[in-house]
Amino acid sequence: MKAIIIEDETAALSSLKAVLQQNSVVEIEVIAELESIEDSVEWFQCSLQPDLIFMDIHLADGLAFKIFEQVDIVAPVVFTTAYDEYALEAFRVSSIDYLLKPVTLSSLEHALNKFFLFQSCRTGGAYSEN
Amino acid sequence: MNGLNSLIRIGERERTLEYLDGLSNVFRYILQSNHKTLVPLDEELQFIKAYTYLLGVRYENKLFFSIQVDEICLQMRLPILSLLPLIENAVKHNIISMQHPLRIEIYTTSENLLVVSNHIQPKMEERVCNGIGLKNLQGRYEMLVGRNIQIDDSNGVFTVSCLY
Repeated sequence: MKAIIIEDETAALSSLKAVLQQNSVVEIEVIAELESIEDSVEWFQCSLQPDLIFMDIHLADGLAFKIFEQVDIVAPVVFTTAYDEYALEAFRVSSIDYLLKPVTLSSLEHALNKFFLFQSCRTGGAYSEN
Repeated sequence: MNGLNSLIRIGERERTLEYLDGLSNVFRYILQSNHKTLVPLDEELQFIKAYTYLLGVRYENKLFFSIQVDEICLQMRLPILSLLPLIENAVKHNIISMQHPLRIEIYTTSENLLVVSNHIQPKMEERVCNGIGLKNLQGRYEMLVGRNIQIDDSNGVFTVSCLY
């Protein structure tokens, strides 16, 4: 699975990458690491959407929700943050989970399982055409 | 705690121990702070060094500190934890990224000033800021030292200085 990480803190980034590698649900290839709204908007303007996005909320240049105002993001998002006050806003965009930092292996695996569950619903639900 | 978590996850034993040491120094100093009012600059700087070490791990290669204090100033006394809110403010209100690293400088001048300064790198949307941290610091300084602190944000540089 191809994922991107949007995170401005070096320590949090390496911690998340280590947990992503450890997870036993799916192999994850991190195809981009971005640290600001500006970087992320630029990246989305000229790249294909990844399968999954890990996104911190407090980024180097402001709140991550600004990214959604500037580009269309269709890939599901797993928010990773140290704050619990943005859950409602996160719910309004295409988020599938909201993990409090530091991210634990079990919370990550739970999010990944949820991702696959939603995906199978989308493609294999009783009312789907195939 | 994220810093500690990442050091353990990436298996950096020595740095994990250093980090833990820094973290306990920071906790100890803050917990003891309510018993003290004025402390020598030397003591405050030891604390700041531990605190900035933690921040350095959190924002590795993006956040830098420089401390250049004249030795004769080390015994000057200032309200405990007066440098902390200034560092916290700089980290909170400025962009800290690979493209725009932030450098915070703490130094003394020949005009008997202790200065904390950084380039202003504003975020896209500034968080609501009521300036309470600086106001509190100003109040404590006036009450305990009997002097004002000066705040200046001209020429793209944010500077807080106090006479010692």
